[in-house]
Parts: sequence; C-alpha cells; structure tokens
Amino acid sequence: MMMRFRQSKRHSVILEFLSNNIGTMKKVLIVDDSAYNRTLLAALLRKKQLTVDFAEDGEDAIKKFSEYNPDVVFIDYVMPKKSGVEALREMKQRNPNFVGIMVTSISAAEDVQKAKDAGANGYILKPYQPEKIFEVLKKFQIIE
Amino acid sequence: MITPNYTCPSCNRKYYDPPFQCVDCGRELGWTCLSCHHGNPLIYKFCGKCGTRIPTAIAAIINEGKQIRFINIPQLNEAEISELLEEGERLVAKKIVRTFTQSELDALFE
Repeated sequence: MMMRFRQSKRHSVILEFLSNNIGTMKKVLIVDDSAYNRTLLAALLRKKQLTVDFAEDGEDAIKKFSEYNPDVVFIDYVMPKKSGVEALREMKQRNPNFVGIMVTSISAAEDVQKAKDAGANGYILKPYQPEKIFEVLKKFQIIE
Repeated sequence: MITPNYTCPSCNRKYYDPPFQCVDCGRELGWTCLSCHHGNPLIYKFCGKCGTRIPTAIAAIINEGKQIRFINIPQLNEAEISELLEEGERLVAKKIVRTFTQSELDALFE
C-alpha cells in the first residue's frame, strides 16, 4: 500500500514537471568524436534540465541537426568525416537561429577566425570548467 | 634516486615526464600536431592521434634538450617569440601561430 502511494506520488511529481516544462525544455546537440567528452558534457547539461542528443562526427551532426532541431549545438573542432567548422557552417546555412558553440583545445588565431566566419556564437577551450559552460548558456538565455 | 627533470614554466610544478598540459595550472607543455592540432606530450615523437611525425626542426630542439614550450605560447606575439628563439630555432618560429586565451576568446565572441 505504502509502495503504491510512493510510486503514485513519484509519478505525479514527474507528470507535474513534464506538464510545466514540456515544450519549453531546450534541446542541445553535443557533437564530439570522443565518447568521454560527450558523456561529460551531457551530465552537466542534464543537471540544468536540458534535453541532450549526440553526434559522433561532422556528417552525423548535420543529419541529427535536421532531425532534432536543437536550440544549442556544442561542437568539437577536429572530427572524422567533416570538421566541426564545416559542419557548423552547413547547419547555420540551414537554420541560423540556433546557438553554435565550439568546444575545442584549438586556439590558433586562424582556426578561431574560421569558426567565427562559420557563424560560431561562442568558443570554449578544453579543458573547461563546468561554470564556463553554464556562463555561456546563461549569456544566450538557454538557462537562468 | 630519480629526480624530476622538467619544471612547468608557469607554476614550477616538477615532472619526470611532462604531460601535454600542466595538471596544476593548465599551461601547454607539449607540442601541437601541425596536421590535426592534437596536443601531444613532450616525449612523443609521433602524433598520438594521426601519427604525423614531429617536424624535424622541433625534434632537433628536443634532442638538444631545449624546451619546446616556445612552439605555442598564448601570451606572446610572434615578434616576442622570435626574440626568444635562437638562430637554429627560427624554422620552428615560421610554424608558430598566434593562439588565444579563454578571456581573449570571450571578448572576440562578445
């Protein structure tokens, strides 16, 4: 009896959360060829109640972008098949209204300029502090 | 007894085999692959990601026991780096690129 009560209470809490947030939960696409980096960033974003999807390379990113229509894309620079900058440029051509953030260890001026030209809205150097991710998300009003 | 033979120029942490990035202050201690931009520890002679051989000029510097940190220094511009390099190292200087710190990037993407 007590177990049923607890379960129904838990369900009602989940339902209440979903009814309040459904349709308003921001979607994030994480593009990185490293599974470790994807998992790490996803764990941070889920803490802020963001829904997350993944892509492993530039081509996969473009495909997922069309299907998932994310509000934010965190994208690595060096990836197989298509680089992060090329993928970002294609995504921005399809829909310029999302926030594209490069997350990379590359900081050479030439490469940074390429990212800026491709339409990147932000640039975070690896290794990053979690606060840096949240700071950028706040800047673009993705989280409060 | 083995003694640490490398000191981080920023925070003075001592290493036996320095990693690509200092574990205390985050300063880059290794070399960045000119082909794929992957960061490699100083002791690597080939890129750990794409296998490109470390450029000959850089390898020569390692063999001479000089510090390779001059390859990629965010705080200095090319002229300042060039002053630090000796005649034989100028070959490497041509490959040096200006790099940004996070605060410089924040200002750029403001």
